[in-house]
Amino acid sequence: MFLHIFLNRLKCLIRDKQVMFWTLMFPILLATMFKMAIPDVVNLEKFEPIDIAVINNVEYQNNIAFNSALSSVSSKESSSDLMFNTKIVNEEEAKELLKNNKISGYIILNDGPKIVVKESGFKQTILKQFINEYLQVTSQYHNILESNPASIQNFISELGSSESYIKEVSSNNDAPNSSVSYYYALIAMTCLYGAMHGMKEVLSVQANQSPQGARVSLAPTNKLKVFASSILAATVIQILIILILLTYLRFALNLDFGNQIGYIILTAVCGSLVGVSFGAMVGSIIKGKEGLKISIIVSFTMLFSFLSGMMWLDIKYIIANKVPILSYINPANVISDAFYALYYYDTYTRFFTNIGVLCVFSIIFYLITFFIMRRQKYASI
Amino acid sequence: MQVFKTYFIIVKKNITSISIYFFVFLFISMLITSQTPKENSVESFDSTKSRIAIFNYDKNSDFSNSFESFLNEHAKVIDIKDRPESMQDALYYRDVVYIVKIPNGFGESMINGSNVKIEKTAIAGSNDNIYIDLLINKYMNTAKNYIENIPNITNKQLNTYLTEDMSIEADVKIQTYDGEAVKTESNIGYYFRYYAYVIFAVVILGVTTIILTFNSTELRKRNLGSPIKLSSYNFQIILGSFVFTIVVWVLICLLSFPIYGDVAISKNTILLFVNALIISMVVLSISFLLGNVMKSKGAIDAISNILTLGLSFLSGIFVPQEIMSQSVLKIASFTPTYWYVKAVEDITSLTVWSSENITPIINYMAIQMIFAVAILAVSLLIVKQKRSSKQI
Repeated sequence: MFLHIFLNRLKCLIRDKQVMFWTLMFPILLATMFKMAIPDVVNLEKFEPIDIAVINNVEYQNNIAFNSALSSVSSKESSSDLMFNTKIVNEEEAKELLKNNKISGYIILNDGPKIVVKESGFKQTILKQFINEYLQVTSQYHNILESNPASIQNFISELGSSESYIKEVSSNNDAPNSSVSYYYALIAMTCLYGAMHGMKEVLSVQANQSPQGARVSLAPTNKLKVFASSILAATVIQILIILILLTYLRFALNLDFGNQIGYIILTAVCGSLVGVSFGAMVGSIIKGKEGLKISIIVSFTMLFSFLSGMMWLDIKYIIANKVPILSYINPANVISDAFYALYYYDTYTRFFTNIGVLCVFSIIFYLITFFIMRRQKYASI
Repeated sequence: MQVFKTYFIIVKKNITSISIYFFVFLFISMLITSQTPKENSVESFDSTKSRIAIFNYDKNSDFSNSFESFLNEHAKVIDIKDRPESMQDALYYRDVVYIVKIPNGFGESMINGSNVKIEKTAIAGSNDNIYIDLLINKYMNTAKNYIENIPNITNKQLNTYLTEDMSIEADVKIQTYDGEAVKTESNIGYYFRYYAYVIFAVVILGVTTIILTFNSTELRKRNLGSPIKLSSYNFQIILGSFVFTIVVWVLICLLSFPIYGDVAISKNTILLFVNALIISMVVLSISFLLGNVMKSKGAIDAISNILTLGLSFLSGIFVPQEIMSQSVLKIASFTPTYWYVKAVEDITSLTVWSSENITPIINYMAIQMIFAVAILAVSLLIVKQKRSSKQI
């Protein structure tokens, strides 16, 4: 009996086009769109040379020190150090360029270099830093000239050769690659869409929700047993779907999730459990048509995914900082966090905490379902 | 106006599911505003401060300590725990963008002129990364210059020189136009970029649900049998959808005032409102089309989610256009939202109302309008065909 129901529910679920769309096709389509829209992360925060202008006046032409300082950061040859794209113009032109957002600011030499900008911002800050540095070196020159004039030649000759005092120490794994987070959230979303299957299974055993349910209720079998075998079918399907998605992401879209395949599958299984149990709970709590239940599952899953950073990564950071509780009660976030912990940490404490939280979610959802569904009798349907 | 009234009775019945998106939007906008710093002061120049963390393992050295306080002045220093996991988290969540470690004995070695380095962990290639590198190297090179060129310089004198030099700041003038300085309106830009996502979600969900209800076979048969002209019947449904869209638009526009305060009261914001209204009309005609083509709620849910998320990702609502590849942008230019986002970006950076700056914005709006009209024409054609066909 157990096997009979299990196999038949499996077939029913696979043949349900609408549910298969949401649980399998939609995530794959979305992942493909991610791949198109989100480029390699290295470019995400890439530094672009800043467009500036410098006013061509007599002081500029005569100030050799400033000229060489400026050309050292804006010459085309040392393209790695290129900080500015500099235009040499007259004052009117500079004003016009600034007005039309063609440059971030311009430098005018009038008793020393001064900056004109339109607004405060990052590029403007860099421009200001450059001028600061120029002025500060000038001040060094005077200080050294004062205390040890013999060394001034040495100072000048070494000016161009600024040394780097920084050594990059990368953390244990690769540099944080935030684009992977989009895919973590997507996998989490897919897990939660397992709710569709869970909901379907509740429909199929509730006498007041579907003809099959009414038929099943008449059968002289333990309802818990029937429900257990059909929910198992739902869970198996959902786990298969997640594995298909992971395979697609790994091999078709070429994403790197690390090598701990066992743990990745564990996360996928726990996520699927949460998804299916969530659906069972929605199915039993909401008394309404199937369409309404699907809408509720879709909109909640979207909300959870949004809050775990699927549409806008920063929202994840903002919530972690401002409303931390929300990151623990949002199942999508817990799932994506488990993937994150797996990828970045050498230890497994955080990973297993997440897995634990997922199991707790699943247990709570099933308990609620159980208490709503037990001992239901219908005088009339 | 029975049909029109019925329209809003159906809206009322479905108000919970329709308003979910609306409230989520509200919540998220508030989070965004609480996160990003207040608008930059207009009159004076504020240097941008990067969020960094400092671990000073060289507390005994005066040199390292004054270096730490120098960083404190020029960056926003965040306290994080000295554990690899906390550091990884902080970087991943962008709580900090740069972690500085001053190794033990750094100050001593600096003064002896031996080669030592500050250890950093940072987000590769970011603006902040370059900026903090610049700051640190500037400080260290200045120190090196003094140490090399003034023999037997005392610690105290070195620190005095360094503090003095580092306090020299360039003179920055803020250029104003029309007597009014420019405000940075990036926050409200975000708000209106996301507006497109919300209006797609809310209006497609709302309008199609209602049209679908009217189109259900029994109801349609009953309505066709009533003494009301078909043209008036259709007109009232279109009017209802129009009013519904306008209400959502007005609500979201009004909400920008309490959220963004006086920033929202400017000429630019009016342009943003107009732009938002135009994309709303595009969405309205899309919903009208879907409502009349699709037969089941399930199919509409599927199509509308694919459409909404697909457009949002491809046309730069979620991921900024400037980081997307050229080939994807080419495809994106066939979507109305692409032009919407372009208009929002131009409007928020618009400072001078010259025809040179305004014309492209008007063009972007016109392109959206063409989309709206074209889609509406197609859906009216379908409605007409459906009416003249025998099957209801």
